[in-house]
Amino acid sequence: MLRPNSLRHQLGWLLLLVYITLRPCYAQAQQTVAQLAGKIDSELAAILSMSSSTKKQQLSASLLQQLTKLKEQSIMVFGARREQLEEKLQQLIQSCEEWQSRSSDEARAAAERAQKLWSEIKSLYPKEALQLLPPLWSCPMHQELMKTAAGNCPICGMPLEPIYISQPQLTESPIIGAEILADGPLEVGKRADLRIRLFFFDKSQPVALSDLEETYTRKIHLLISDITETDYHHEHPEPAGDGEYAFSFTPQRPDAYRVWADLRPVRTHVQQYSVANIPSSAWRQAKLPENEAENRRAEIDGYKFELSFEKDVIHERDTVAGKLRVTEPDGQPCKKLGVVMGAFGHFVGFGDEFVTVLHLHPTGPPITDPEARSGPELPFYFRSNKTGLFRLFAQVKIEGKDFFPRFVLRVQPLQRLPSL
Amino acid sequence: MPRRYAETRNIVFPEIPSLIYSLLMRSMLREFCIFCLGAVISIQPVLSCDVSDDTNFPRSAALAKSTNRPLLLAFIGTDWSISSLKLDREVFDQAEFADDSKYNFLLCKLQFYQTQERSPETIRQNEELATQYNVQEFPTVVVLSPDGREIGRLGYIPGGVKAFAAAANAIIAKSRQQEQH
Repeated sequence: MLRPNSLRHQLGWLLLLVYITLRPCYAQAQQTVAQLAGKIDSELAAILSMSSSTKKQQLSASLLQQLTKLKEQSIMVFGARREQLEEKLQQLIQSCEEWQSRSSDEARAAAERAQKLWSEIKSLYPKEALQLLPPLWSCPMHQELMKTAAGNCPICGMPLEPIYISQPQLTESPIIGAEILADGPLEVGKRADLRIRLFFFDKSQPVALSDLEETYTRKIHLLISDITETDYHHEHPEPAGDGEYAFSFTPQRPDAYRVWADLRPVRTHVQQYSVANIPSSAWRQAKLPENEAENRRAEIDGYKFELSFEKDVIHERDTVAGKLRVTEPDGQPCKKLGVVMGAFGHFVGFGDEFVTVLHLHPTGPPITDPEARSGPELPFYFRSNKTGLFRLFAQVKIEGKDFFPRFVLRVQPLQRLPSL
Repeated sequence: MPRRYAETRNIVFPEIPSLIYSLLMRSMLREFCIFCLGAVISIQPVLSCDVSDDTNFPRSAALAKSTNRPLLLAFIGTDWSISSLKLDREVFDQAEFADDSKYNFLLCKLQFYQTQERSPETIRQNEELATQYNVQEFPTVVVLSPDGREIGRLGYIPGGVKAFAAAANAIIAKSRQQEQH
């Protein structure tokens, strides 16, 4: 009962919860007025050329079903228009029934009447109710931006994310789960060789590299942090067969560690995080320091790192332009920032509940020349939809060595009116 | 009335032999932590906060009156009307628009969803308001004076927060001028 690594147990809970939360996504999406109108359009167009009675019966039944659904979905027509709409829909249903039951000339007249009624009905709707929403994509930093295809943000270069309401087939919840396999507990200062197993939630099938798309030069990014959010690692695991991927890191703290696998499945083209805990006997021994002071400066090996933002206070849901400035130990501006994963630096932020992750990239297109150098300033955009403290780690490469300076940022709630 | 916290201290747990008790508590606590963790992780992406989303119209109307601010009633359907979606993302959801020190009006979003479930009361309330203000196109933003009179209407305006707020402010300023005359 008290095995420290009862992974299966934890996984069971997680799977159950994920199932509960995912369930509505798999339920059949409700059809919109535009979708229903499209179907009715094509069915009514076929009505005049139809003569076989079984086909007529089928079509009539299907029309009746669509029209009933349409009436239920017409939440955007009100008042006198609504009354007209309901009356005309009733007449349309009658005409369809007449068309189905009568023969030749009478049926033809009923069909023509139905088509006329349908065009009158359509004029009662607001214009956009009969137009299908195209697939839309937006930038995580600039949500006012809407594009009809996936790609990169023209302002900051970050990959666009889908707007889910226009693509209900895509899901916001992760479709891939993760589990860490370890031979023993972690030890401070000792390199740990671990494996991460990735599997699809729906069929528990292992995830192959070919199931994933590349983002920032790699298919799998592992963001690893301890529960105090002070010891951060960024690893790229190697395939070890059957959905398992091997990686290693050297923990610097005696606390519990968690891994966020940053993935983009081919199936959805949407970035997601699969979260797994590294089995540990130290679980929950340490706590995230509360009320840690904001800190926008860090120093490692004499190099000074300084964050600055265009606004003094960072609010939730606000996109704020920021800069990381690097100074050499001798006080000179550092112009030797090398290329890490297709950019001159990366930023990863952890929320104070140890769940939310922000993965930010510097402004601009991917850097393809591995010999390129930049500095001393690295511009980027910051945005968080969650308030509270964020531990933000930058990752930069100077003369072949990776640096992970740590900053503490506070995201304030938006101003609100006093409640009544 | 101040709450009396002392009561909670008097709860006495039934005596269970300490070893069994600690084992039981540890395993329960563990399960509970994992449960909460799972819940947070799996629900987290679904949560999104909308500061200005307030389908409780009576509250908005009362607040408009008590703070003497104009109220914008926005009839939108973001899951089917592209202009509604644009208005929502480009204007209503911008942090700048929620900055109360800059724009001196209230917003009440009335959502007419086709694909999301809503409570029957909200649906009824929104339909009644749409009938009352004779809404025909989406989006429609009805500008109300603090005492609830309609003083103008807006639709989707390209140009983000600034363009939209300028149009709303123009309506409000015009109505104030007329009142003074």
